[in-house]
Amino acid sequence: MKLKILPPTLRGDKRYLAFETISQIPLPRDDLIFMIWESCLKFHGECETSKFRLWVTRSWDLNSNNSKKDHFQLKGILQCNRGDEEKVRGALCLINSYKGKKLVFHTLGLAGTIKSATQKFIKPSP
Amino acid sequence: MINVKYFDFHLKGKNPDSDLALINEAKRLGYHGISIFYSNEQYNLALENFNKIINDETSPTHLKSFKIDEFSITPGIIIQGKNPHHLQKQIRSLRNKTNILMVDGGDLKINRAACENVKVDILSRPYYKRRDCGLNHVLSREAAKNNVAIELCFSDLLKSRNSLRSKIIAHFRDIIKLQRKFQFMLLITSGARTIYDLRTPQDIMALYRCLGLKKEEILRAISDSPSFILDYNQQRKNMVVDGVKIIDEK
Repeated sequence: MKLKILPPTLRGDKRYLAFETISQIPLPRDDLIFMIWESCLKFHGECETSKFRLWVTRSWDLNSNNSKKDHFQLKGILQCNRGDEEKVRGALCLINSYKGKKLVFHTLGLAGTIKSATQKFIKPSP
Repeated sequence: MINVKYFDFHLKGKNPDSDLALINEAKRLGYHGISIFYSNEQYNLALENFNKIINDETSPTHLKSFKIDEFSITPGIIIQGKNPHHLQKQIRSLRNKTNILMVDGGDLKINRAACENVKVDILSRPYYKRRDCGLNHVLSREAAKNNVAIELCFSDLLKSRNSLRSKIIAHFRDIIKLQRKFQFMLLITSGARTIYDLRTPQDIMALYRCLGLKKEEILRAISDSPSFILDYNQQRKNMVVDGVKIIDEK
């Protein structure tokens, strides 16, 4: 049986970080999540990271099927606790390698809803 | 809202292609200016290369800084002194050659010689390969007096792991503590060699806030201090002594 969802007043506040990654090899979603958690755990420790409530809500693979590219780009939205955005951002920018290849995380921006994060930073309307 | 100009004041130059990629990426990430550092031997070649990139026939060929659409590029020279005497000799010979002069720190005698020399702009990584932060109250006071900026390099954090990273963070905290007391200029730079080492100014700000710096202090370190160094060096040749400068009536 599924638990009934909490009323909005009892739910914690969230913020959505839009990010992009540029890597030398393609980056699967599972590894992306692992790297975000690993970086936060290493930089802030277990106790502090437990407050962040991290969740990768969506990701967009921006590469076509061309395997001869020298770098691969991916965009995504990361949900985190309101008030801890700076700490998450700080931890994300310390990620620099994946399976021995170079990788970089750039935070594109911060929004209050998934919709606005997508519209503003992922797929900006002309 | 105040429009803040962000600078990355330490990129490591390698070859024309990678330098151009770094410049383009820094521009894309929202920086308003960068400074690329070369060794003395590579510097002239780099200037020629920048002249070719900008390809502006109207500009004079002896330029020491460049602009592409309001994005400023300032090539500089990094000195690796073997001892204080060698360092002073190098500073004397290179000061007029470039706009920005940086000394690679780490050795205590080099740190001291750099802080005491008014011709030096930046002391890079005084904590490098040391068990302490490489600065004390005496060096801090000298750095403040001679307008020598102390650099905190992000690439040191990025390329270290576990205990080494925590020691570097501890050194950063010690330097920040001294900076609050003695008010010398602090510079936050990326020290990037490739586009994978560059971060957005907002990410850098978020990271340094985690390390204990206040927002105003970070803005001073990535915006105000670099602007001050650029302005100061443009007027350096007119300065007779500190506080006195020759004003051209024309």
